Amino acid sequence: MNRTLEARRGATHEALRIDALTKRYTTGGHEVAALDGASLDVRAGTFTAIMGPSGSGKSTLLHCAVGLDRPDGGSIVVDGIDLGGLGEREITEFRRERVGFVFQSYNLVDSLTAAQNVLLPARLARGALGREDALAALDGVGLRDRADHRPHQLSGGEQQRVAIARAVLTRPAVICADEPTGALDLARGRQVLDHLRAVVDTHARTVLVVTHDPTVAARADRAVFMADGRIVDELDRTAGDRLDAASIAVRMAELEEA
Amino acid sequence: MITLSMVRHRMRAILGGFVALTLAVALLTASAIVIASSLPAVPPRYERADALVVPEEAGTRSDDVTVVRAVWTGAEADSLAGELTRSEEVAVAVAERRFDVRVMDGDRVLGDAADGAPGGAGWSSFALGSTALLEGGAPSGAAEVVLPRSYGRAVGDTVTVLTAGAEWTMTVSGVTDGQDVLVPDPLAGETATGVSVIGVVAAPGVGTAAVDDLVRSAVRDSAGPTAEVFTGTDQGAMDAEFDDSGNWVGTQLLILVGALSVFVSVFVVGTTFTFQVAVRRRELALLRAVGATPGQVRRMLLGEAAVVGAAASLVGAVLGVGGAFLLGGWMVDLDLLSRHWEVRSVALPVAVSVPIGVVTAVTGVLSASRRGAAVAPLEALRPENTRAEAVPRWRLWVAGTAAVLGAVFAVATVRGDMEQAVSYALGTALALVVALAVAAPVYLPRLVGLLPGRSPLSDLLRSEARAGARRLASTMLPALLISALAVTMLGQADTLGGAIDEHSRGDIPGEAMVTRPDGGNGLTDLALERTREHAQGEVHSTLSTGVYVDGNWVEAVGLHRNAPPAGTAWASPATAAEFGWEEDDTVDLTWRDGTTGRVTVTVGPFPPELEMWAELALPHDLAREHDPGTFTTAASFDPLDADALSAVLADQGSEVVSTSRLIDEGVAAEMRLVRLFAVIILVLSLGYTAISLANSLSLSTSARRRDLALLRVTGVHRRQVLVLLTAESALVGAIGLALGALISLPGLFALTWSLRDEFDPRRGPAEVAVQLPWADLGAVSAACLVIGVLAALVPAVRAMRRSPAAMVAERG
Repeated sequence: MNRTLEARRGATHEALRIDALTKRYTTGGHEVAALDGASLDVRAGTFTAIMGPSGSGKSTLLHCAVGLDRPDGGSIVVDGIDLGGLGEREITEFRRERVGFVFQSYNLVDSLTAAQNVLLPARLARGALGREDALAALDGVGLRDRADHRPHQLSGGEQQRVAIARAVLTRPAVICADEPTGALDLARGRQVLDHLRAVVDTHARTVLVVTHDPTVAARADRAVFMADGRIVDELDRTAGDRLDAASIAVRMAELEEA
Repeated sequence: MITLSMVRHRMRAILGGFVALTLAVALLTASAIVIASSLPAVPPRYERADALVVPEEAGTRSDDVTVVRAVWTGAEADSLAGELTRSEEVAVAVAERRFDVRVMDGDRVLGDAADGAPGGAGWSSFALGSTALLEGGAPSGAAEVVLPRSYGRAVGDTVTVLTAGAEWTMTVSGVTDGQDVLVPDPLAGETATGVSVIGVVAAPGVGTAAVDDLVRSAVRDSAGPTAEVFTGTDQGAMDAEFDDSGNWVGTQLLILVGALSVFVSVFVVGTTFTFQVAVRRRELALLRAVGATPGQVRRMLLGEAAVVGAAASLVGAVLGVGGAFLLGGWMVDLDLLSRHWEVRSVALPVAVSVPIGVVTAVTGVLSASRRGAAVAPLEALRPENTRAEAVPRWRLWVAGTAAVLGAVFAVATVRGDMEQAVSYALGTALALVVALAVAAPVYLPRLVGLLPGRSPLSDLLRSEARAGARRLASTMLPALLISALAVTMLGQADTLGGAIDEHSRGDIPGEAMVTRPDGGNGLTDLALERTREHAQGEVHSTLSTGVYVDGNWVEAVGLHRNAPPAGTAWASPATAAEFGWEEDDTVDLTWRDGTTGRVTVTVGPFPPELEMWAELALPHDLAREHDPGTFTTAASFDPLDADALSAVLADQGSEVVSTSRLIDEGVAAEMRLVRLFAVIILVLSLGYTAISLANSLSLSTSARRRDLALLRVTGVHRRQVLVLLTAESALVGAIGLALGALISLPGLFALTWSLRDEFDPRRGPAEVAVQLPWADLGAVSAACLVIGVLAALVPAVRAMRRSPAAMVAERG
């Protein structure tokens, strides 16, 4: 057993530590700073929403945080693992073992059934999980009876829920979602949020959501606000802040005016 | 299992590659079966012999290829055979008497013009073969004969049997399923020119090794020339030595067909999967995001290719096995294979073809899989990003290497002989095709960029070419390939044909020649005498024979016209120099029948009709005296009355034909073969082009549906979209055709250089020009363009039936 790793984990209780991330893109000849010293700690077992106007760097932060993208500077530690030192293969294995993904759309591989999609990361990792586990996970999102349907036979909301089932199956340290309700109508969006919330409340996982929708952020334990590649503000329910759609919308409006 | 699901899901998209590969493996399997079934083998007439003994090698014929062996006199051979027969381990040893024979029913020649060994033999040879007696029995007395079934006679029928010097009226005593005309042994002994093979059949229960030892020791102690022994201990050598099927032309064609199928299907499969990767970027990115390593993505794509490859190969192999019978039968009809060809080997060719198919599929996918593995996981989230891809360095390296290889082939073409040159010239073109194909994304946008015009259409074309260089490159490939093949193959056919027609007519004296009515060669002495009676001046007849000097083969000819004085020989200056002969020397030599003798030689240059091949000229009668078993090869002369002569030659199985017609027919036959090769290859390639174009264009059109929809939304008419696609396809096709033609030229010009020294050296290097069949090439090009435009339009028209909004909204 790795004592240092355990000790560090115990000491922080933090699923995610991001420190002074920088990331620059060059588009059309000029350089844009997508991240400019962003730092963020996320406690294990919480639901955190990252908010901000378009171009504030929230998606880039999320992508870097879970190893989909590489920062130019700064450090990321997920579940005690420093991503800075990992090669392409290691970071891929890190993703499939410690991170679950729910994207805005196009979450599922067309040729595979819902159950096969849920099982995909576990199979890629050659894990011991089988169809029963996939069915149990689908059961958790209320889709056990749709297990053998293909993505095109499922509604958008159902596809998102299959993605949630997939994200929780391998018990990852962090589940990240990028505008998970962006392509859904209100009722379906609420359903998906209910399931994400349940991931935190009943499975005690850590969820990180990027959104610009205050009603999504209102379901979180904590909302952090980004502007110009930095975290500029936050509302934390555990710290006693009001975290409802209205107050979040007001913060957002202030940011966009600033 | 993931791989399997994905293959099933994408079956329609993979269909193009699947069909191409199935066809390739079918062709490959069929070709391989036919080749394996036409590999050299001991012919049926010797199949039961446990050992075959032949005299040592003595040199080659004037073609520099056919090996000639020494010969035993009848007495030497009989003593060796007798000694072997006396051994307890030997059931029988036969000193085979073989000779030219023709069987007549009145004026009608029975049987076909035989290829391979002369068809007459003594009855004792029957014991060496696996041939079965179907009816009747052995010839008894001096006037009975056993005929092959194909002669269509029954036991008791009367036939006339002609040899070079005799004519026998004989009764059919038996009918076999073989090919030999078998006469009583004493007659065969009188007729045959020496003995060239002794066959040994072991007594029952005696092993191959024992026979081998026994025969070898007996041969060591025997008189006469040193002998070589072939037994089942080295079946390959035995097969190669005694094979007389003449299948090699067909085999060459098949090897070419098989190799081209594989070459082309690597391209088609590669294109299919490259598009797959382009179309599936989001899916691959999603896999990467949820934890597939680059290696897993690569292995998945290779696995898909292997699954598709295995399925296509198995289907192809089944088709190929059936196809082999058709292919073989067809090639037999075209005289590309021996008439006795049959499917002999299936398992091994299938076992070879199927893995080749799988490897072909995987090879085609190698680069696509690398690109697939390089897809970044983030692309799952940002599908709309168009990537300006740099051309990878390996493309330039591969292109450069292929170009160098092409140059090497071109040099080899110039230096090779005619047959090598033809293959190397094709190699030159194919290597350059690879170079141009691999480098296409680099130069193609620049070429299209040269397109003049300020219209929105040409602007759009230019910018599409810049953005989709790789897509354009893969639609150009088939046109490039077909054009290179068409120009090279048809150009070679016409260039060769022109050169042969112009330079190889030779110097045959006289207006007419005597041949067999069905095209075979050979005159009996009686036919030759009658020809001489009906000729103006002396007949130029050639009895092709040979003598041995110090054990070396000397190609000799028996002549009437220009013959040296009776009892003397006439050596060419080169021959005299080789053996150190002077005018009027009396020299020792061994005749074709194995007897030794002395002859006085004169030395002088040969006339043109002999110079190219003969080394020693003899009077006809002297040649005949020592080579009684061989028909006179040919006779050419100026006839007094051709019809009257034909009438009196009929019962000798000969007729009079005009020399120029014979030469025309000879050139035409040679050209037919060359053209046949070209046409088969072209038809195959056009088929592949159609599959591959339809495949890549329908894939690329479906990948571009959103672009097309966007054009429609922004106000472009349906018709304008179709015009754009037509123009693009035609333009790219035309570029491919032009480039393909261009890169064929180095090989063709190299071929003309190589051909300069292929003809009569007395006239100096031949002037050979590149000749191209413009009409045929035009037709091939037009077909290629039409296929290309249709392949672009059909999927586009189908895609645009839907409203632009629906197309835009469609998931990418």
